[in-house]
Amino acid sequence: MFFDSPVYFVFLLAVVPLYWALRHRQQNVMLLVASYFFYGWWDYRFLALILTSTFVDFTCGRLIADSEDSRRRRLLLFAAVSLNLVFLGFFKYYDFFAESLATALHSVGIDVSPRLLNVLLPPGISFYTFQELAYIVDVYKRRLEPSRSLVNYALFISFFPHLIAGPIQQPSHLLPQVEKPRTFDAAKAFDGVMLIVSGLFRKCVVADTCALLANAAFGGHLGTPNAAAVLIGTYAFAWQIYGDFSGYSDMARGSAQLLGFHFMVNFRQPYLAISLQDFWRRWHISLSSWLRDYLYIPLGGNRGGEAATQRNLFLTMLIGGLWHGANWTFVVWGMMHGAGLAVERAFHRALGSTRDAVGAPISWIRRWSNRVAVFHLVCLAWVFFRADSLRAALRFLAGLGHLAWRPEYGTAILLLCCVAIPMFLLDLRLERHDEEYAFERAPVHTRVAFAAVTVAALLFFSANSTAAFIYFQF
Amino acid sequence: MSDGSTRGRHLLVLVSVIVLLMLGAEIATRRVLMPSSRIEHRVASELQRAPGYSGDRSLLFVGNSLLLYAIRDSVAPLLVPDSWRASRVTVEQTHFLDWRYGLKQFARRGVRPAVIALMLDAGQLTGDATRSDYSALKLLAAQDVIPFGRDAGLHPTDISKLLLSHFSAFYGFRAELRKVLLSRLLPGTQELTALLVPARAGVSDSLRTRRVAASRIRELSDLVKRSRARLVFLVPPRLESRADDRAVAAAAADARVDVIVPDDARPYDSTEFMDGYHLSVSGAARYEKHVGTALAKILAEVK
Repeated sequence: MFFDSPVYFVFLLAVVPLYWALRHRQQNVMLLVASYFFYGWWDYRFLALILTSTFVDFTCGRLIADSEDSRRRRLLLFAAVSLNLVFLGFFKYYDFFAESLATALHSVGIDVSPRLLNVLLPPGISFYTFQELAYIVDVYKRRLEPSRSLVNYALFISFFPHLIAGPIQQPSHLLPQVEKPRTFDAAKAFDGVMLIVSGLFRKCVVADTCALLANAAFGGHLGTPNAAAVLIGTYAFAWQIYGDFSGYSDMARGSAQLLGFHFMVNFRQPYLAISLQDFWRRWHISLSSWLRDYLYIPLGGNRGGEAATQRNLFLTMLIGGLWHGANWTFVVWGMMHGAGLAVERAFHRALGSTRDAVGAPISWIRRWSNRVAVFHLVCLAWVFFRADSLRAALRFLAGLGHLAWRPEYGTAILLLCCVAIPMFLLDLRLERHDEEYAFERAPVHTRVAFAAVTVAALLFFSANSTAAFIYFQF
Repeated sequence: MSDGSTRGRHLLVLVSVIVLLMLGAEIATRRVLMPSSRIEHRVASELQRAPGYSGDRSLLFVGNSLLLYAIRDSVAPLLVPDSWRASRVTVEQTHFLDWRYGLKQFARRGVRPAVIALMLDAGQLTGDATRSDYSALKLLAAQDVIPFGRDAGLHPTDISKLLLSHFSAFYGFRAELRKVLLSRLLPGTQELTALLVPARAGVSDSLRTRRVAASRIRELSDLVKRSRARLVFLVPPRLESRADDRAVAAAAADARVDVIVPDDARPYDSTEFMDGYHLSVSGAARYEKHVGTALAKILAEVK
């Protein structure tokens, strides 16, 4: 069930009051059942998969923690990590790698016809696998006490607000919350409702409207790719994916907050980033933190000299790209960001800047010119992320060299501005006031008025589409 | 007052404001917005008068915008012999599934004409598209919403949207509201929308069309027979003669259902269409004359 569907609100309205009527242990059992129901609603056949990996990781976690034998601990870690990666690899990447291998062999004159599985991708597998990997690694490194309750651990993995599309929760942040009793806090619930309203606006008004324009541009319905159509499509997709995913994250955080949990912030005004490094501190923070902690740092981080750091950055982003989907477009998207980060780092070093690029004070003009430049670099990479194939992306970008105009483009630009500008202004406010959601620290009547305006916009300007959240496919 | 109860009151105010806005939207849609829409007014009045066209010598034309422009409301009663009465119900953008369940609901509501003349093109007859929320609101009975959604291949989440649309006028009508609001706020929205929504691809496989169409026409025929009615299938005129239309005509014959195909005295030309798809007044006049003649023969056989 999508967070923006009526059935989700029926589900939430049933879960929240019942949940608060129960005691801690019962609350966790009830939330676990509700989470499995939520997951089974998508496709009950995949429940067996999540149950298996949950049980194996829980058992391995306990065995690792209880063992003093380093060889046995390593073996258990290897077994748990392998199982998670095998599940992920089988369901998500098998066909992709089999096809890519066949294509590569064909190019050297060897014809093979790989047996493709065409299996459905289990919902949320990329997200819960990463959360399980984080848990098992943290337990192995003795950074985290393992959960002694299967119910608590299963709830940590499958808690419905983050189950399908994150935010990927750090075990040290969420697990203690699962294990400790929670009390109802009306102020937190208020914030939760505000987050849900804000998320719905981002998804249903901004993202779904932008999706109409982006789909038309990338689908060729705005005419043969030309500069105007390419720019409309690219900007529309940039706001679509931001509205879509940040909206989803807000709704996830809001839903969790109604149940007394706190989720980490997943987006902090990414299009106001002044460098690519800054962008990755603001965009999909839960994934970039995971990649940093469980990939970049284990690869060596910035400890092995400049060349190794550049390589690690590039590899991390490349794998981050592949995490998004089994397609070369995502690999190129990741490579572009990896290369961009490496070049940016080299550039700062060449200029002799020893200070952190993000923390350094810069002038207003430079700040804004950096923001514009970074936004456009990010947009360029989005073209590869959105296109169906590398060839389609290049053909789309080639349209930049062709000038054409239709009166409908004017309306499209106006429509795009109508939805993107309010979101941009909200981001500016969030940035200035350092808030988690708009008007967070304003007087109550202002916040209620803001919610009323947002709900009114939602009621009358929600696109009537059944577009799924983009990140559900990952 | 304690801090906790103040917070609780704030939460209550916030939730109340949201609920009130939703209730306001529902009431405004039922009382103000729907009655003030020209299209909505037409659909509502056509649906309302439909039960009046029940009985032995009555005929009901049903279909979408193709029928809306092909057979004018004022002309529809004149297309049947004097002893007959005829009326029309048109709901834009409707397809096979909308009418499969819509006709079922018509029978429940007591709409039992002797003849039902349904117009759909080949794509609308053989595809699985629907008018979704709006159909759930206007054409479907509550118990049909779930089977309708299943037949349309929808996920339970989308079926839940249909259910809400059936009970909430605002939810079922919101797409139309948005369309109207956007076209008022942004001139040119209609032209842009035409560009954004890709044109439907024609049905290329005539054999498949004939097979699917025959089974669907037979199904519709059986459905109307249950309320002792007879189905007549109307093939809409096209700017260019198409193989899939011919396949639909053949399918209707396969299903032993009366079918009226456009006259082939001469091809329809562009002046007989408003937009290449819907008939203009002159095109409608020509088509109506042809339908009147064909119906006279068919209705003569009806006891």
